[in-house]
Amino acid sequence: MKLVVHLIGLFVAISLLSGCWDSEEIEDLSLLVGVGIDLGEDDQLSLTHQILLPASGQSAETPAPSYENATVLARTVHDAIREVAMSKNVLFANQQRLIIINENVLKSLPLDAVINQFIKDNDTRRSCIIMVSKDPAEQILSTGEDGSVPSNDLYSLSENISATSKILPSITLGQTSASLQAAGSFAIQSVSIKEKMLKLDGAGVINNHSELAGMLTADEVSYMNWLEGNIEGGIIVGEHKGKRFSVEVIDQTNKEIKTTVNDSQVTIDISTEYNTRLSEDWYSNEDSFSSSYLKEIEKAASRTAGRDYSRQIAK
Amino acid sequence: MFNKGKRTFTEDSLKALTKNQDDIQFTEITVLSRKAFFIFVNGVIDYTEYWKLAQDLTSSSSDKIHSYDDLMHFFQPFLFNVAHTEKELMTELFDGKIALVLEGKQEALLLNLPSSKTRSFAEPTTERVVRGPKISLIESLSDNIALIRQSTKDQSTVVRKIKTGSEEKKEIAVIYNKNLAKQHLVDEVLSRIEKVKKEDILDSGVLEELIEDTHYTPFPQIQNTERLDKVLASLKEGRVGIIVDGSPFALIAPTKVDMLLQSPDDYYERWIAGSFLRLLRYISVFITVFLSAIYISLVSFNSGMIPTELAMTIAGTRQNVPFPPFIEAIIMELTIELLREARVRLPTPVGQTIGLVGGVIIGQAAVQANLVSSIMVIIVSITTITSFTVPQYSFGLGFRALRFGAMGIAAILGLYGTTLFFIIFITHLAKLTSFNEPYLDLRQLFNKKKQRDFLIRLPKKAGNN
Repeated sequence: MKLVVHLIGLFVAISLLSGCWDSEEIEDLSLLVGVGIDLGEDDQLSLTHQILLPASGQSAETPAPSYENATVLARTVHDAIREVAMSKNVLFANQQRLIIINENVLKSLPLDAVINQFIKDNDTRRSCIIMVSKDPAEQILSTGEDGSVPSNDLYSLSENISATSKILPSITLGQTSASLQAAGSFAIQSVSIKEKMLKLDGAGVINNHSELAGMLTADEVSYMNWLEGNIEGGIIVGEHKGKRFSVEVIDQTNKEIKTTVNDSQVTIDISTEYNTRLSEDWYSNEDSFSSSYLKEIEKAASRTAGRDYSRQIAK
Repeated sequence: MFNKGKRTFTEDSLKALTKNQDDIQFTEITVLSRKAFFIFVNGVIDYTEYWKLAQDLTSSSSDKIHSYDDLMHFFQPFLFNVAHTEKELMTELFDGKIALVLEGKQEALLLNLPSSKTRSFAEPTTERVVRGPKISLIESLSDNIALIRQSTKDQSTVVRKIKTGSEEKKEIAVIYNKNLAKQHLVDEVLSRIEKVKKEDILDSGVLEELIEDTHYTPFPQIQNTERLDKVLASLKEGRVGIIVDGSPFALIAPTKVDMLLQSPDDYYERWIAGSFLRLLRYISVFITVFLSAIYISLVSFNSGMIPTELAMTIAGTRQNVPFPPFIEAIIMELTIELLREARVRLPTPVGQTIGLVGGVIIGQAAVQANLVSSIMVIIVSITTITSFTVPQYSFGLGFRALRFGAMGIAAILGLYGTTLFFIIFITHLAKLTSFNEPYLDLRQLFNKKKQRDFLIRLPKKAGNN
């Protein structure tokens, strides 16, 4: 009996003394999904925080989530986050899935400095995606159809790699950090606004000094994917007997890189093989069941792809 | 009070002994040209049979019965015993016998004309199955034993009877298979009952509490069942059945966690379906105890672990709710528990109204009044439904109680606390014993024969016991 009394006492003491001081109810937090970083005036950063607003009311039909953007000027990233707390609920970065960095920022600041706070912070997920933008990040974070959240849209767009070869595999905060540590350049998906729509368009190349070395167009991204073997899906459009056809890429089967040094001339041979499928053919006398016909298509397709490769390498 | 020693019975002294007992009937007759009377408790004897007997006696007394031996012979088919003292006579009288007392005789004849007051065998009410035997035990010990005997037809089934109670009036039967049950287990059961035989046991539930290993646990360490097939199966498994007179619930010892989560259905239906349902029960036990706790910790402490879209939904439903999730959960869980308790106590037609009031009105109204969020109502409903899937009602009760502990610790320490609670919970189960056998016996997982019928039930091949 005495033991029971002691246990009850202990329980009451723990409950009252500890309370729930660590608890923060979910509705009292600002759910941060995306951060856009622009250059502001006076050598300051302009940070746009995209905060999800819960649908209020208990109505049966759930309206699409709405959002608001909080843009603040600050000297550092962390400073900006604290600045937001003066006008909004405390930012809660656990759900953050996107960081958009304007190319102007990367022209004046190294990438590792810009993302430093996000890496040091234990709230932000390392699976958060990084993108660069040609248009101001603030504008990008406020573009999109009514009721949709731009951060979420971009996040799901980046998963479309299985359908097109013109976007890069999404690069996360963790991967960026790792790539920055390793010497060597890498590319980051770029996003821009085309006719009031968000579009994944090209890429920014970060060199081994973590500076923005240049931008690639969407087609160039595709060629790069072909060379690196990042293709998970996509279409090659070619011509055969004067009519167009498309070939869908299924997966890569073989990749070989040979380097030969020939009198101070370095030659790099990259040969890759892909499984493909003839998905569309405008030639009316097609005969998809004969293997010789398919061979011809194959040749035409690889010719087209090869031509594009050489263009990329020339660049 | 009683007249000690052998002496003649007199009507006056017997009447004095049964003073104020209005259901005791004295019927005077004349036998062997002597005054005699029948004494019996009205209602516990078969009155029609008695009446016939009394008629026969008076009509044939003149020509057939000439001596006391003739009388004994006449009553031979019904004769139970002969009482020599008043105390003996009274004991048997209240046990349902008819006493025939002849004036001036030193002994009284005790006749057995019982009319048993039992209900007939019916379907089990607490442990229903879709497919399988539909017979359950009843309140009569002798009927129950007869039923088990008839079903086993096995001479190795042993029935031991122990008289208990302050006047040793109540019988407890211990049933086991002498070839399969371990001797030390049988001895343990018998000695534990032996120790409490002075107690008055109204129901097997009382006995369960008296002979269990430890009181400080929410879990029953002895299985109880009213299903005949469960008793028979446990005898086959070498376990011991304990049946208390007056209780339709047999106790089965020892028991294990996995046995309490088994239902006879598992064996009567196809093994894939049976295994699926059994797994479902394990999952539902986990949900019963931990779902509300996990919800509380996710919403109050670890919001980052909720997917973004779900987090938005939860934040939306919680927006106008004035309470922290813990208080919210307590309000709903307490309401549901109250409804369940009220429903058990109420007569059946009213009980259904309570279900309607509880489910529809309170749930809907509480959400509309912003007392609780709609997600909380879903969480509580799920935990309530899952708590019903435990086949052993008393085992399910333990989990229902533990849920509040898990919620409390989740409100203080979050997901860390919930994990802590899980560890304590499993440790406690592992520490429990049932008649010195481990309660949570995971060794079965590594036993080739036993693992076929543990978490899932694999099909049985004939001759492969």
